[in-house]
Amino acid sequence: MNGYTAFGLLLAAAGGACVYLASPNQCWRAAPWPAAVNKAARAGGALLLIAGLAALRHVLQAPAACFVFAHWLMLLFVLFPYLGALLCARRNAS
Amino acid sequence: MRSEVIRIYKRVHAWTGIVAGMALFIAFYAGALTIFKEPLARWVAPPHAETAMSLDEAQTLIVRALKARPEMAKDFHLYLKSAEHLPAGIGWQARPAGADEHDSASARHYVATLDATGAVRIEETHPSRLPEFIDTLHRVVGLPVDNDPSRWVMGVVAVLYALALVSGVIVLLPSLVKDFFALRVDRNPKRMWLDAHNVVGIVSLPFHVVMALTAVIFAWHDGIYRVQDTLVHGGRWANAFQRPGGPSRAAPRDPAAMLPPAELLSRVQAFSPTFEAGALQYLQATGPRAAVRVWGHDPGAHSPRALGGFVGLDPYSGKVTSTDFMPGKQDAANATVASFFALHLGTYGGTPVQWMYFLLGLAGAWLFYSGNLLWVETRRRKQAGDDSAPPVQRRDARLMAAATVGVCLGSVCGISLAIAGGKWLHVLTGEANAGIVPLYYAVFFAAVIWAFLRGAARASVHLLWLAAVLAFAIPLTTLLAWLFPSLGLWAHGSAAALGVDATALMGGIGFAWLARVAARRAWHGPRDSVWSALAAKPPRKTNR
Repeated sequence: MNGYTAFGLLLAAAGGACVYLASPNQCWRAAPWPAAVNKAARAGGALLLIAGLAALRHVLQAPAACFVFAHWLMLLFVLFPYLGALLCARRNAS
Repeated sequence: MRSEVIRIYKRVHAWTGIVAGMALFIAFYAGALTIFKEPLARWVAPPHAETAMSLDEAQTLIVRALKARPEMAKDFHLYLKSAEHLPAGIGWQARPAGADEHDSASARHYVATLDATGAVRIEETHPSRLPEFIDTLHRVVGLPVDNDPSRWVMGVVAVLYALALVSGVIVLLPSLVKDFFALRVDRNPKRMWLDAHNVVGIVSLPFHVVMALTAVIFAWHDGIYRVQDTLVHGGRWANAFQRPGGPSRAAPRDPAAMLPPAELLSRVQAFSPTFEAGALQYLQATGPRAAVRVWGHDPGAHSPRALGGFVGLDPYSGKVTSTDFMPGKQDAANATVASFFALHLGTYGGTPVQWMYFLLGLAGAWLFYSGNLLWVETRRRKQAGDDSAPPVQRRDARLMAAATVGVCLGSVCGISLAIAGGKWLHVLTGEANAGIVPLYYAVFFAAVIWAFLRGAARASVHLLWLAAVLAFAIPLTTLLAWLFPSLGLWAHGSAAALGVDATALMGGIGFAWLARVAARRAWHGPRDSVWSALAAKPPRKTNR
């Protein structure tokens, strides 16, 4: 895997995680962040996502970069709630 | 939105999903594996004699092979990189007259190489049909043959899939923002299945919209082209794609006059430095309209076909004749059309994207499975109180649960057995191809019958354990080949082949975990459910 591709995917994953954590339905943390932190996480997440897309665009043509970015985000946003459900179930069990 | 409208769309969503769900499960599970069609082909391919051939020798080979077998001039490939499933040399297929162009099962495969003395050696090869069979299951939703009737069935399923997507989104619209990312496990089971279903459906909606629309086109493209030809092109569409050339009855051209492959490749390299060639496909090599397609990938661009894309050249002059299918060099119109193929096939971004498609494909299979679970859960009859006896569950819910378990897990088990069987049948009978399809359907139908006989609760545990065992059989076959070479099995050490073993191992662990969870639910879960092995049985009918 090209270094820029890996970097872009990593940035997008970090951005996606911020967006998920700022959501009212997040399950990674037992208690949601305060509103101000949520706002900052959303903004930071958006910036990381844009940076991720820019890194992908550096090595891929525009359509391919957008396709990779979109599919990566879809996969992450499917996995994050399932990971959250697993963590939530463990918290409830303990 | 009015609740009445939502109710109508909910009904449309439920019924389209129920009718098409199991077929789509098979299409998505097999499709996820088809993303790794090449590694599967490499894993299952029997070892072949290593014949190293330099690119400089390729021209000699082509000329001598064409002299020995003039009929191959119609269409043959020169493979630039040999692998477990691709011997170095040139290969071509011979199909019986009238065979369906999409069905490769009837094709005979030949390979030409040069021996030590420089003489051409032509052999018939028998590449495994396993990857093609799994692809067929994907393309025609579990039917055995990719022919017109199967594709029409697929087309209907794809339309139902599109309807289910649209109606599902409309049903979710009122709570879309509020419930985004929600997966509540601490409430009732119906809520949990609904969230588990909705998360996948909504988040990966663009992926599914593209899959549904392209599947409709793939299924009915022959018919669409025929109508387009009649209405728009006046029946002369085929002429538009014919390359200009000399009279078709001219004497065959001398293939020795063609530019050597190395020269053709250097011209392609000069034309597009980022294009990575993998094979040269010669068409009508000795005819007046001779063409060569240089197939390959551009790591930075999307490709229009599963094998990549190609640039067309005249093999005699080396002139580039077409870039319509060349990744990175297409015009806007062709690039747009190609993007739909690329989005369906995942032919961009390399290995990371293949893994994304694999996981999204599995998530898609789960989407349809969970949809059926939801349908069953909606019809659940609940126990009135802790002291009361659990009620008998509805017949339609019991049958649907059994069908879902049997069909879905049956296809999972069948595919795993077909993969492992691709090697074992070769060792035991000397020829694996004839046995792969019967092996798959034997397990598939046995699983369906078992699910109806034993009920969904018990059968889901049994079939999940069977799925785990059969997935483990894939890396175990490789292990046995290394430990006991006398068995006649083989194991390839390439990353692609080992990746198949590692993925199957992970799959086996996953199925074993699911089997334990299903067993716990069956024996210790609530008894007022079709998923309980201790659920109340329906009263037997007695003859009076």
